Amino acid sequence: MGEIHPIHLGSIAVTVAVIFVIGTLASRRVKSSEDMLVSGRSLGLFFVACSLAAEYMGGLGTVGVSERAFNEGMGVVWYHIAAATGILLFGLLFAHYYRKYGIQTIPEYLYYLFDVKTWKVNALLNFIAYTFFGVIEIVALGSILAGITGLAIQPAAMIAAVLVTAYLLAAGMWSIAYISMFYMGLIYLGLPLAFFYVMRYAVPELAGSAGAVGFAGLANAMIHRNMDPSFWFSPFSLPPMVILGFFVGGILAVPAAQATINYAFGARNWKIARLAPILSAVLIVPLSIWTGTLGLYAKTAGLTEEPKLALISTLTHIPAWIGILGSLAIFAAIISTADSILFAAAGILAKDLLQRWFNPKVDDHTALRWTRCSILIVGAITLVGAMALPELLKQAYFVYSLRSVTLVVVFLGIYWQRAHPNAAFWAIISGFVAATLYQFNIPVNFRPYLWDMHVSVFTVVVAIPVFVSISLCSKWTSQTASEPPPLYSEEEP
Amino acid sequence: MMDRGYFPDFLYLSLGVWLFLLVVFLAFSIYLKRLPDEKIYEFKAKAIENKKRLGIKIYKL
Repeated sequence: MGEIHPIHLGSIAVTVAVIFVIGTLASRRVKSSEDMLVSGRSLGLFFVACSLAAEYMGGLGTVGVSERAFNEGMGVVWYHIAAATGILLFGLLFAHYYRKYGIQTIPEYLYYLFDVKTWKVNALLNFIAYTFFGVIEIVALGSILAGITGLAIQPAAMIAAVLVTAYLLAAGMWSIAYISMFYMGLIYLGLPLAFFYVMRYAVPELAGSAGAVGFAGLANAMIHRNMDPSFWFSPFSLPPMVILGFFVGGILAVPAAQATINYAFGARNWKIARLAPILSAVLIVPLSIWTGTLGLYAKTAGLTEEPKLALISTLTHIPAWIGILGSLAIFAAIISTADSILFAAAGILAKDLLQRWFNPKVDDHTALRWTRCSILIVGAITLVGAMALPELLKQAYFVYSLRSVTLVVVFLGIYWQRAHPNAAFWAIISGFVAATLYQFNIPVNFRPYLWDMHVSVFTVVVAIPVFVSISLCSKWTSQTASEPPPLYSEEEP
Repeated sequence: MMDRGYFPDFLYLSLGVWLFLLVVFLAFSIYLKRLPDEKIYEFKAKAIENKKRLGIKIYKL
Protein backbone atom coordinates (compact mmCIF):
# COMPACT_ATOMS: atom_id res chain seq x y z
CA MET A 1 0.00 0.00 0.00
CA GLY A 2 1.30 3.44 -0.79
CA GLU A 3 1.04 6.65 1.19
CA ILE A 4 -1.61 6.70 3.90
CA HIS A 5 -4.05 9.51 3.23
CA PRO A 6 -5.72 11.04 6.35
CA ILE A 7 -9.00 10.26 4.65
CA HIS A 8 -8.13 6.53 4.95
CA LEU A 9 -7.97 6.78 8.73
CA GLY A 10 -11.10 8.93 8.77
CA SER A 11 -13.05 6.45 6.67
CA ILE A 12 -12.09 3.55 8.93
CA ALA A 13 -13.06 5.61 11.99
CA VAL A 14 -16.47 6.37 10.45
CA THR A 15 -16.96 2.69 9.50
CA VAL A 16 -16.11 1.55 13.03
CA ALA A 17 -18.48 4.19 14.47
CA VAL A 18 -21.30 2.97 12.20
CA ILE A 19 -20.61 -0.63 13.27
CA PHE A 20 -20.84 0.37 16.94
CA VAL A 21 -24.08 2.28 16.40
CA ILE A 22 -25.61 -0.69 14.56
CA GLY A 23 -24.36 -3.09 17.24
CA THR A 24 -25.88 -0.94 19.97
CA LEU A 25 -29.22 -0.76 18.16
CA ALA A 26 -29.17 -4.52 17.57
CA SER A 27 -28.52 -5.20 21.27
CA ARG A 28 -32.04 -3.96 22.08
CA ARG A 29 -33.45 -7.04 20.36
CA VAL A 30 -31.68 -9.52 22.62
CA LYS A 31 -33.85 -10.85 25.43
CA SER A 32 -32.91 -14.55 25.42
CA SER A 33 -30.14 -16.93 24.39
CA GLU A 34 -32.21 -17.81 21.31
CA ASP A 35 -32.22 -14.12 20.31
CA MET A 36 -28.45 -14.10 20.69
CA LEU A 37 -27.72 -17.34 18.83
CA VAL A 38 -30.39 -17.45 16.12
CA SER A 39 -31.95 -13.95 16.18
CA GLY A 40 -35.08 -15.33 17.84
CA ARG A 41 -35.71 -17.15 14.53
CA SER A 42 -37.15 -14.02 13.01
CA LEU A 43 -34.72 -13.08 10.22
CA GLY A 44 -36.27 -12.12 6.91
CA LEU A 45 -35.08 -13.05 3.42
CA PHE A 46 -32.59 -10.21 2.89
CA PHE A 47 -31.04 -10.50 6.35
CA VAL A 48 -30.35 -14.22 5.83
CA ALA A 49 -29.19 -13.82 2.22
CA CYS A 50 -26.86 -10.88 2.94
CA SER A 51 -25.38 -12.48 6.07
CA LEU A 52 -24.72 -15.72 4.19
CA ALA A 53 -23.26 -14.00 1.12
CA ALA A 54 -21.11 -11.61 3.17
CA GLU A 55 -19.73 -14.53 5.18
CA TYR A 56 -18.70 -16.38 2.03
CA MET A 57 -17.06 -13.45 0.22
CA GLY A 58 -14.08 -13.10 2.57
CA GLY A 59 -10.43 -12.56 1.72
CA LEU A 60 -10.19 -15.43 -0.76
CA GLY A 61 -13.19 -14.11 -2.70
CA THR A 62 -11.74 -10.60 -3.02
CA VAL A 63 -7.94 -10.32 -2.67
CA GLY A 64 -7.50 -14.02 -3.55
CA VAL A 65 -9.57 -13.80 -6.76
CA SER A 66 -7.73 -10.67 -7.81
CA GLU A 67 -4.38 -12.37 -7.22
CA ARG A 68 -5.46 -15.36 -9.28
CA ALA A 69 -6.68 -13.16 -12.16
CA PHE A 70 -3.32 -11.35 -12.07
CA ASN A 71 -1.51 -14.68 -12.40
CA GLU A 72 -3.84 -16.82 -14.48
CA GLY A 73 -6.54 -14.68 -16.08
CA MET A 74 -10.30 -14.41 -15.82
CA GLY A 75 -10.94 -18.15 -15.61
CA VAL A 76 -11.05 -17.23 -11.92
CA VAL A 77 -14.75 -16.36 -12.35
CA TRP A 78 -15.37 -20.06 -11.76
CA TYR A 79 -14.43 -19.51 -8.11
CA HIS A 80 -17.67 -17.68 -7.34
CA ILE A 81 -19.72 -19.83 -9.71
CA ALA A 82 -18.53 -22.86 -7.72
CA ALA A 83 -19.31 -21.10 -4.44
CA ALA A 84 -22.79 -20.27 -5.74
CA THR A 85 -23.27 -23.94 -6.63
CA GLY A 86 -22.45 -25.00 -3.06
CA ILE A 87 -24.84 -22.42 -1.63
CA LEU A 88 -27.53 -23.40 -4.13
CA LEU A 89 -27.22 -27.06 -3.07
CA PHE A 90 -27.53 -26.03 0.56
CA GLY A 91 -30.83 -24.29 -0.17
CA LEU A 92 -32.18 -27.09 -2.34
CA LEU A 93 -31.08 -30.16 -0.37
CA PHE A 94 -30.31 -29.30 3.26
CA ALA A 95 -31.83 -26.08 4.67
CA HIS A 96 -35.35 -27.43 5.24
CA TYR A 97 -34.08 -30.52 7.03
CA TYR A 98 -32.10 -28.37 9.45
CA ARG A 99 -34.97 -25.92 9.91
CA LYS A 100 -37.49 -28.70 10.58
CA TYR A 101 -35.66 -29.61 13.81
CA GLY A 102 -35.15 -26.00 14.84
CA ILE A 103 -31.44 -26.55 15.40
CA GLN A 104 -28.97 -23.91 16.54
CA THR A 105 -25.78 -25.77 15.67
CA ILE A 106 -24.72 -28.43 13.16
CA PRO A 107 -23.41 -30.83 15.87
CA GLU A 108 -26.91 -30.70 17.43
CA TYR A 109 -28.37 -32.04 14.17
CA LEU A 110 -25.89 -34.90 14.29
CA TYR A 111 -27.50 -36.00 17.57
CA TYR A 112 -30.97 -36.02 15.97
CA LEU A 113 -29.64 -37.88 12.92
CA PHE A 114 -27.28 -40.23 14.73
CA ASP A 115 -26.35 -40.39 18.40
CA VAL A 116 -24.81 -38.70 21.42
CA LYS A 117 -21.21 -39.68 20.71
CA THR A 118 -21.34 -38.33 17.15
CA TRP A 119 -22.77 -35.04 18.44
CA LYS A 120 -20.07 -34.74 21.12
CA VAL A 121 -17.10 -35.50 18.90
CA ASN A 122 -18.37 -33.18 16.17
CA ALA A 123 -19.03 -30.37 18.65
CA LEU A 124 -15.55 -30.65 20.11
CA LEU A 125 -13.78 -30.81 16.75
CA ASN A 126 -15.92 -28.01 15.29
CA PHE A 127 -15.11 -25.77 18.23
CA ILE A 128 -11.37 -26.43 17.83
CA ALA A 129 -11.50 -25.99 14.04
CA TYR A 130 -13.49 -22.75 14.10
CA THR A 131 -11.30 -21.25 16.84
CA PHE A 132 -8.25 -22.13 14.75
CA PHE A 133 -9.94 -20.63 11.70
CA GLY A 134 -10.82 -17.52 13.74
CA VAL A 135 -7.11 -16.88 14.33
CA ILE A 136 -6.48 -17.11 10.59
CA GLU A 137 -9.31 -14.69 9.78
CA ILE A 138 -8.24 -12.16 12.41
CA VAL A 139 -4.70 -12.17 10.99
CA ALA A 140 -6.12 -11.65 7.47
CA LEU A 141 -8.32 -8.85 8.76
CA GLY A 142 -5.35 -7.30 10.57
CA SER A 143 -3.39 -7.33 7.29
CA ILE A 144 -6.05 -5.40 5.38
CA LEU A 145 -6.59 -2.99 8.28
CA ALA A 146 -2.82 -2.45 8.42
CA GLY A 147 -2.87 -1.73 4.68
CA ILE A 148 -5.59 0.89 5.06
CA THR A 149 -4.35 2.59 8.23
CA GLY A 150 -0.58 2.16 7.99
CA LEU A 151 -0.45 0.36 11.37
CA ALA A 152 1.72 -2.73 11.88
CA ILE A 153 -0.15 -6.03 11.37
CA GLN A 154 -0.19 -7.12 15.03
CA PRO A 155 -1.81 -4.00 16.53
CA ALA A 156 -4.17 -3.92 13.53
CA ALA A 157 -5.14 -7.56 14.21
CA MET A 158 -5.68 -6.68 17.87
CA ILE A 159 -8.02 -3.83 16.94
CA ALA A 160 -9.86 -6.13 14.52
CA ALA A 161 -10.34 -8.84 17.17
CA VAL A 162 -11.59 -6.33 19.75
CA LEU A 163 -13.98 -4.73 17.23
CA VAL A 164 -15.51 -8.05 16.14
CA THR A 165 -15.76 -9.37 19.71
CA ALA A 166 -17.41 -6.13 20.87
CA TYR A 167 -20.23 -6.19 18.36
CA LEU A 168 -20.78 -9.92 18.74
CA LEU A 169 -21.09 -9.37 22.50
CA ALA A 170 -23.71 -6.72 21.90
CA ALA A 171 -26.24 -8.89 20.06
CA GLY A 172 -24.71 -12.04 18.55
CA MET A 173 -26.53 -13.03 15.36
CA TRP A 174 -28.65 -9.88 15.43
CA SER A 175 -25.44 -7.81 15.27
CA ILE A 176 -24.16 -9.84 12.35
CA ALA A 177 -27.49 -9.67 10.51
CA TYR A 178 -27.74 -5.88 10.75
CA ILE A 179 -24.04 -5.22 10.17
CA SER A 180 -23.99 -7.62 7.19
CA MET A 181 -26.54 -5.40 5.45
CA PHE A 182 -24.13 -2.50 5.95
CA TYR A 183 -21.20 -4.63 4.75
CA MET A 184 -23.09 -5.74 1.64
CA GLY A 185 -23.86 -2.09 0.96
CA LEU A 186 -20.14 -1.30 1.16
CA ILE A 187 -19.21 -4.27 -1.04
CA TYR A 188 -21.88 -3.50 -3.64
CA LEU A 189 -20.96 0.18 -3.68
CA GLY A 190 -17.16 0.13 -3.36
CA LEU A 191 -16.18 -2.60 -5.81
CA PRO A 192 -18.54 -1.80 -8.73
CA LEU A 193 -17.64 1.88 -8.40
CA ALA A 194 -13.90 1.13 -8.53
CA PHE A 195 -14.54 -1.23 -11.47
CA PHE A 196 -16.55 1.42 -13.31
CA TYR A 197 -13.94 4.12 -12.72
CA VAL A 198 -11.09 1.89 -13.88
CA MET A 199 -12.90 0.79 -17.05
CA ARG A 200 -14.23 4.25 -17.91
CA TYR A 201 -11.33 6.54 -16.97
CA ALA A 202 -8.16 4.56 -16.13
CA VAL A 203 -8.14 2.07 -19.02
CA PRO A 204 -8.09 4.74 -21.81
CA GLU A 205 -4.94 6.16 -20.15
CA LEU A 206 -3.05 2.88 -20.54
CA ALA A 207 -0.30 2.71 -23.13
CA GLY A 208 -1.60 0.99 -26.26
CA SER A 209 -5.28 1.25 -25.28
CA ALA A 210 -5.88 3.61 -28.22
CA GLY A 211 -8.13 5.66 -25.94
CA ALA A 212 -10.77 2.95 -25.89
CA VAL A 213 -12.75 2.45 -22.71
CA GLY A 214 -13.82 -0.83 -21.09
CA PHE A 215 -12.67 -4.28 -22.06
CA ALA A 216 -11.75 -3.15 -25.60
CA GLY A 217 -9.21 -0.67 -24.19
CA LEU A 218 -7.90 -3.22 -21.70
CA ALA A 219 -7.52 -5.80 -24.49
CA ASN A 220 -5.65 -3.25 -26.65
CA ALA A 221 -3.30 -2.45 -23.77
CA MET A 222 -2.73 -6.18 -23.21
CA ILE A 223 -1.74 -6.66 -26.86
CA HIS A 224 0.64 -3.71 -26.43
CA ARG A 225 2.26 -5.62 -23.52
CA ASN A 226 2.41 -8.89 -25.46
CA MET A 227 -0.43 -10.41 -23.44
CA ASP A 228 -2.95 -12.36 -25.49
CA PRO A 229 -6.49 -11.13 -24.53
CA SER A 230 -8.09 -14.30 -25.88
CA PHE A 231 -6.19 -16.16 -23.15
CA TRP A 232 -6.46 -13.65 -20.29
CA PHE A 233 -10.19 -13.08 -20.90
CA SER A 234 -10.98 -16.74 -21.48
CA PRO A 235 -13.17 -18.49 -18.88
CA PHE A 236 -10.83 -21.44 -19.39
CA SER A 237 -7.55 -19.64 -18.71
CA LEU A 238 -7.12 -21.88 -15.66
CA PRO A 239 -6.34 -25.61 -15.94
CA PRO A 240 -9.45 -27.85 -15.77
CA MET A 241 -8.22 -29.46 -12.53
CA VAL A 242 -8.11 -26.06 -10.84
CA ILE A 243 -11.67 -25.31 -11.95
CA LEU A 244 -12.75 -28.75 -10.74
CA GLY A 245 -11.02 -27.98 -7.44
CA PHE A 246 -13.09 -24.78 -7.10
CA PHE A 247 -16.27 -26.84 -7.48
CA VAL A 248 -15.21 -29.55 -5.08
CA GLY A 249 -14.16 -26.87 -2.59
CA GLY A 250 -17.29 -24.77 -3.11
CA ILE A 251 -19.63 -27.72 -2.67
CA LEU A 252 -17.82 -29.24 0.31
CA ALA A 253 -17.42 -25.92 2.07
CA VAL A 254 -21.02 -24.84 2.45
CA PRO A 255 -23.89 -27.22 3.31
CA ALA A 256 -22.56 -28.34 6.72
CA ALA A 257 -20.42 -25.32 7.64
CA GLN A 258 -21.82 -23.80 10.84
CA ALA A 259 -20.34 -20.34 10.21
CA THR A 260 -21.80 -20.03 6.71
CA ILE A 261 -25.24 -21.49 7.10
CA ASN A 262 -26.29 -20.70 10.67
CA TYR A 263 -28.19 -17.65 9.40
CA ALA A 264 -30.66 -20.05 7.82
CA PHE A 265 -31.26 -21.40 11.35
CA GLY A 266 -32.34 -17.87 12.28
CA ALA A 267 -34.76 -17.58 9.34
CA ARG A 268 -38.36 -16.67 10.12
CA ASN A 269 -39.63 -19.91 8.56
CA TRP A 270 -38.45 -22.88 6.54
CA LYS A 271 -39.30 -21.29 3.20
CA ILE A 272 -37.00 -18.34 3.86
CA ALA A 273 -34.34 -20.77 5.08
CA ARG A 274 -34.47 -22.46 1.65
CA LEU A 275 -34.92 -19.39 -0.53
CA ALA A 276 -32.32 -17.08 1.04
CA PRO A 277 -29.32 -19.22 -0.03
CA ILE A 278 -30.46 -18.93 -3.67
CA LEU A 279 -30.51 -15.14 -3.32
CA SER A 280 -27.04 -15.34 -1.72
CA ALA A 281 -25.79 -17.20 -4.78
CA VAL A 282 -27.18 -14.40 -6.98
CA LEU A 283 -25.34 -11.84 -4.84
CA ILE A 284 -22.03 -13.69 -4.90
CA VAL A 285 -21.51 -14.44 -8.61
CA PRO A 286 -20.70 -10.89 -9.89
CA LEU A 287 -17.95 -10.39 -7.30
CA SER A 288 -15.21 -12.06 -9.35
CA ILE A 289 -16.04 -9.93 -12.41
CA TRP A 290 -15.11 -6.82 -10.39
CA THR A 291 -12.20 -8.11 -8.32
CA GLY A 292 -10.75 -10.23 -11.13
CA THR A 293 -10.84 -7.38 -13.63
CA LEU A 294 -9.25 -4.98 -11.13
CA GLY A 295 -6.46 -7.53 -10.60
CA LEU A 296 -5.97 -7.93 -14.35
CA TYR A 297 -5.84 -4.15 -14.73
CA ALA A 298 -3.00 -4.03 -12.16
CA LYS A 299 -1.04 -6.50 -14.28
CA THR A 300 -1.72 -4.76 -17.59
CA ALA A 301 -0.87 -1.35 -16.14
CA GLY A 302 2.27 -2.78 -14.49
CA LEU A 303 1.21 -1.42 -11.09
CA THR A 304 2.95 -4.16 -9.12
CA GLU A 305 5.00 -7.32 -9.54
CA GLU A 306 3.45 -8.86 -6.43
CA PRO A 307 0.19 -10.72 -7.28
CA LYS A 308 -1.11 -10.51 -3.69
CA LEU A 309 -1.07 -6.71 -3.99
CA ALA A 310 -2.94 -6.62 -7.30
CA LEU A 311 -6.28 -5.41 -5.94
CA ILE A 312 -4.82 -2.99 -3.40
CA SER A 313 -2.45 -1.55 -6.04
CA THR A 314 -5.36 -0.78 -8.34
CA LEU A 315 -7.38 0.78 -5.53
CA THR A 316 -4.49 3.07 -4.54
CA HIS A 317 -3.96 4.04 -8.19
CA ILE A 318 -7.43 5.58 -8.62
CA PRO A 319 -8.82 8.73 -6.94
CA ALA A 320 -8.60 8.45 -3.15
CA TRP A 321 -12.30 8.48 -2.34
CA ILE A 322 -13.11 5.69 -4.78
CA GLY A 323 -10.06 3.71 -3.70
CA ILE A 324 -11.11 4.07 -0.07
CA LEU A 325 -14.61 2.84 -0.79
CA GLY A 326 -13.04 -0.14 -2.58
CA SER A 327 -10.70 -0.79 0.36
CA LEU A 328 -13.62 -0.58 2.78
CA ALA A 329 -15.47 -3.09 0.60
CA ILE A 330 -12.56 -5.54 0.99
CA PHE A 331 -12.45 -4.79 4.71
CA ALA A 332 -16.20 -5.50 4.89
CA ALA A 333 -15.83 -8.77 2.96
CA ILE A 334 -13.09 -10.02 5.29
CA ILE A 335 -14.59 -8.82 8.60
CA SER A 336 -17.96 -10.38 7.71
CA THR A 337 -16.21 -13.74 7.39
CA ALA A 338 -14.24 -13.23 10.60
CA ASP A 339 -17.32 -12.35 12.67
CA SER A 340 -19.19 -15.44 11.44
CA ILE A 341 -16.26 -17.73 12.22
CA LEU A 342 -15.87 -16.35 15.74
CA PHE A 343 -19.61 -16.53 16.27
CA ALA A 344 -19.73 -20.16 15.10
CA ALA A 345 -16.98 -21.15 17.56
CA ALA A 346 -18.66 -19.23 20.39
CA GLY A 347 -22.10 -20.69 19.59
CA ILE A 348 -20.81 -24.26 19.69
CA LEU A 349 -18.88 -23.58 22.92
CA ALA A 350 -21.88 -21.99 24.62
CA LYS A 351 -24.64 -24.27 23.41
CA ASP A 352 -23.13 -27.68 22.74
CA LEU A 353 -20.23 -27.83 25.15
CA LEU A 354 -21.10 -25.63 28.15
CA GLN A 355 -24.86 -25.94 28.21
CA ARG A 356 -26.00 -29.18 26.57
CA TRP A 357 -23.01 -31.34 27.46
CA PHE A 358 -22.10 -30.08 30.93
CA ASN A 359 -25.19 -28.41 32.35
CA PRO A 360 -28.38 -28.71 30.31
CA LYS A 361 -30.60 -27.68 33.24
CA VAL A 362 -29.47 -24.05 33.39
CA ASP A 363 -32.10 -21.34 32.97
CA ASP A 364 -32.11 -19.17 29.88
CA HIS A 365 -30.68 -16.14 31.70
CA THR A 366 -27.57 -18.19 32.58
CA ALA A 367 -27.43 -19.61 29.04
CA LEU A 368 -27.44 -16.05 27.68
CA ARG A 369 -24.63 -15.11 30.07
CA TRP A 370 -22.65 -18.18 28.97
CA THR A 371 -23.13 -17.23 25.34
CA ARG A 372 -21.60 -13.81 26.01
CA CYS A 373 -18.79 -15.41 28.05
CA SER A 374 -18.13 -17.81 25.14
CA ILE A 375 -17.88 -14.91 22.69
CA LEU A 376 -15.40 -13.26 25.05
CA ILE A 377 -13.39 -16.48 25.45
CA VAL A 378 -13.23 -17.13 21.69
CA GLY A 379 -12.39 -13.46 21.05
CA ALA A 380 -9.54 -13.66 23.60
CA ILE A 381 -8.19 -16.94 22.18
CA THR A 382 -8.18 -15.62 18.61
CA LEU A 383 -6.60 -12.36 19.75
CA VAL A 384 -3.77 -14.17 21.52
CA GLY A 385 -3.47 -16.60 18.59
CA ALA A 386 -3.26 -13.76 16.07
CA MET A 387 -0.51 -12.13 18.14
CA ALA A 388 1.49 -15.30 18.73
CA LEU A 389 0.81 -17.58 15.76
CA PRO A 390 0.40 -15.60 12.53
CA GLU A 391 2.08 -18.47 10.65
CA LEU A 392 -1.16 -20.44 11.17
CA LEU A 393 -2.26 -18.80 7.92
CA LYS A 394 -0.24 -21.40 6.04
CA GLN A 395 -2.46 -24.15 7.45
CA ALA A 396 -5.76 -22.44 6.58
CA TYR A 397 -7.08 -25.17 4.30
CA PHE A 398 -6.65 -27.82 6.97
CA VAL A 399 -9.67 -26.42 8.79
CA TYR A 400 -11.86 -27.03 5.74
CA SER A 401 -11.47 -30.78 6.13
CA LEU A 402 -13.87 -30.91 9.09
CA ARG A 403 -16.57 -29.11 7.13
CA SER A 404 -16.16 -31.67 4.35
CA VAL A 405 -16.44 -34.73 6.56
CA THR A 406 -19.44 -33.22 8.38
CA LEU A 407 -21.11 -32.67 5.02
CA VAL A 408 -20.56 -36.34 4.12
CA VAL A 409 -22.16 -37.65 7.31
CA VAL A 410 -25.08 -35.18 7.22
CA PHE A 411 -25.81 -35.88 3.54
CA LEU A 412 -25.72 -39.64 3.97
CA GLY A 413 -27.76 -39.41 7.17
CA ILE A 414 -30.50 -37.50 5.39
CA TYR A 415 -30.57 -39.40 2.12
CA TRP A 416 -29.29 -42.96 2.72
CA GLN A 417 -31.46 -45.52 4.49
CA ARG A 418 -28.49 -47.58 5.73
CA ALA A 419 -26.61 -44.65 7.30
CA HIS A 420 -25.59 -45.83 10.77
CA PRO A 421 -24.53 -43.82 13.86
CA ASN A 422 -21.30 -45.82 14.32
CA ALA A 423 -20.41 -45.05 10.71
CA ALA A 424 -20.92 -41.32 11.30
CA PHE A 425 -18.77 -41.35 14.43
CA TRP A 426 -15.89 -43.26 12.84
CA ALA A 427 -16.07 -41.32 9.58
CA ILE A 428 -15.57 -38.08 11.52
CA ILE A 429 -12.70 -39.52 13.57
CA SER A 430 -10.97 -41.14 10.59
CA GLY A 431 -11.48 -38.05 8.41
CA PHE A 432 -9.96 -35.79 11.04
CA VAL A 433 -7.01 -38.11 11.69
CA ALA A 434 -6.41 -38.55 7.94
CA ALA A 435 -6.53 -34.78 7.39
CA THR A 436 -4.02 -34.21 10.20
CA LEU A 437 -1.58 -36.79 8.82
CA TYR A 438 -1.97 -35.47 5.28
CA GLN A 439 -1.63 -31.79 6.12
CA PHE A 440 1.36 -32.16 8.42
CA ASN A 441 3.17 -34.83 6.34
CA ILE A 442 3.04 -37.51 9.03
CA PRO A 443 4.93 -39.82 8.62
CA VAL A 444 5.78 -38.76 5.03
CA ASN A 445 4.57 -36.23 2.46
CA PHE A 446 1.65 -38.05 0.75
CA ARG A 447 0.85 -35.28 -1.72
CA PRO A 448 3.16 -36.25 -4.60
CA TYR A 449 1.60 -39.76 -4.58
CA LEU A 450 -1.96 -38.43 -4.53
CA TRP A 451 -1.91 -35.87 -7.35
CA ASP A 452 -1.37 -33.07 -4.80
CA MET A 453 -4.99 -33.53 -3.73
CA HIS A 454 -6.58 -30.80 -1.60
CA VAL A 455 -6.77 -31.82 2.07
CA SER A 456 -10.57 -31.50 2.19
CA VAL A 457 -10.92 -33.76 -0.87
CA PHE A 458 -8.54 -36.26 0.74
CA THR A 459 -10.68 -36.19 3.89
CA VAL A 460 -13.79 -37.01 1.87
CA VAL A 461 -11.97 -39.78 -0.01
CA VAL A 462 -11.19 -41.37 3.36
CA ALA A 463 -14.50 -40.63 5.10
CA ILE A 464 -16.92 -41.96 2.45
CA PRO A 465 -15.55 -45.56 2.31
CA VAL A 466 -15.33 -45.65 6.11
CA PHE A 467 -18.94 -44.45 6.40
CA VAL A 468 -20.30 -46.77 3.72
CA SER A 469 -18.46 -49.89 4.86
CA ILE A 470 -19.38 -49.48 8.56
CA SER A 471 -23.00 -48.73 7.64
CA LEU A 472 -23.21 -51.84 5.45
CA CYS A 473 -21.73 -53.99 8.23
CA SER A 474 -23.94 -52.53 11.00
CA LYS A 475 -27.56 -53.15 11.78
CA TRP A 476 -30.10 -50.74 13.23
CA THR A 477 -31.72 -52.20 16.36
CA SER A 478 -33.82 -50.68 19.11
CA GLN A 479 -30.59 -50.27 21.11
CA THR A 480 -28.85 -48.27 18.39
CA ALA A 481 -28.49 -44.63 19.35
CA SER A 482 -30.59 -45.17 22.46
CA GLU A 483 -28.20 -43.41 24.86
CA PRO A 484 -29.99 -40.27 26.05
CA PRO A 485 -28.16 -36.94 26.01
CA PRO A 486 -26.79 -35.66 29.35
CA LEU A 487 -29.56 -34.80 31.85
CA TYR A 488 -32.06 -35.08 29.03
CA SER A 489 -35.46 -33.50 29.12
CA GLU A 490 -38.53 -35.49 28.12
CA GLU A 491 -39.35 -32.90 25.51
CA GLU A 492 -39.07 -34.04 21.90
CA PRO A 493 -37.74 -31.72 19.22
CA MET B 1 -7.15 -3.30 -32.36
CA MET B 2 -10.29 -4.45 -30.56
CA ASP B 3 -13.73 -3.29 -31.54
CA ARG B 4 -15.17 -0.77 -29.04
CA GLY B 5 -18.05 -3.10 -28.29
CA TYR B 6 -15.70 -5.96 -27.40
CA PHE B 7 -17.34 -8.31 -24.93
CA PRO B 8 -14.91 -10.85 -23.45
CA ASP B 9 -15.77 -14.54 -23.20
CA PHE B 10 -15.66 -14.76 -19.41
CA LEU B 11 -18.43 -12.15 -19.19
CA TYR B 12 -20.77 -14.33 -21.25
CA LEU B 13 -20.18 -17.10 -18.74
CA SER B 14 -20.50 -14.96 -15.60
CA LEU B 15 -23.52 -13.01 -16.72
CA GLY B 16 -25.14 -16.15 -18.15
CA VAL B 17 -24.75 -17.96 -14.82
CA TRP B 18 -25.95 -14.87 -12.96
CA LEU B 19 -29.09 -14.67 -15.11
CA PHE B 20 -29.66 -18.41 -14.67
CA LEU B 21 -29.45 -18.04 -10.89
CA LEU B 22 -31.83 -15.10 -11.01
CA VAL B 23 -34.35 -17.21 -12.92
CA VAL B 24 -33.87 -20.10 -10.44
CA PHE B 25 -34.44 -17.66 -7.58
CA LEU B 26 -37.65 -16.31 -9.10
CA ALA B 27 -38.95 -19.77 -10.03
CA PHE B 28 -38.08 -21.18 -6.60
CA SER B 29 -39.82 -18.21 -4.91
CA ILE B 30 -43.02 -18.99 -6.80
CA TYR B 31 -42.67 -22.73 -6.14
CA LEU B 32 -42.17 -22.23 -2.38
CA LYS B 33 -44.98 -19.71 -2.15
CA ARG B 34 -47.39 -22.31 -3.51
CA LEU B 35 -46.32 -25.00 -1.04
CA PRO B 36 -48.38 -25.28 2.15
CA ASP B 37 -46.50 -24.55 5.41
CA GLU B 38 -47.22 -28.11 6.58
CA LYS B 39 -45.12 -29.49 3.73
CA ILE B 40 -42.12 -29.28 6.06
CA TYR B 41 -43.36 -32.41 7.88
CA GLU B 42 -42.97 -34.41 4.69
CA PHE B 43 -39.21 -33.88 4.53
CA LYS B 44 -37.93 -36.89 6.41
CA ALA B 45 -34.27 -37.65 7.02
CA LYS B 46 -33.65 -41.38 6.56
CA ALA B 47 -31.59 -41.85 9.73
CA ILE B 48 -34.21 -40.11 11.88
CA GLU B 49 -36.93 -42.24 10.29
CA ASN B 50 -34.92 -45.36 11.23
CA LYS B 51 -34.98 -44.23 14.86
CA LYS B 52 -38.72 -43.59 14.77
CA ARG B 53 -39.39 -46.95 13.14
CA LEU B 54 -37.49 -48.76 15.89
CA GLY B 55 -39.07 -46.71 18.67
CA ILE B 56 -35.79 -45.03 19.64
CA LYS B 57 -36.63 -41.87 21.54
CA ILE B 58 -35.15 -38.59 20.32
CA TYR B 59 -34.85 -35.95 23.03
CA LYS B 60 -34.58 -32.22 22.55
CA LEU B 61 -31.03 -31.11 23.22
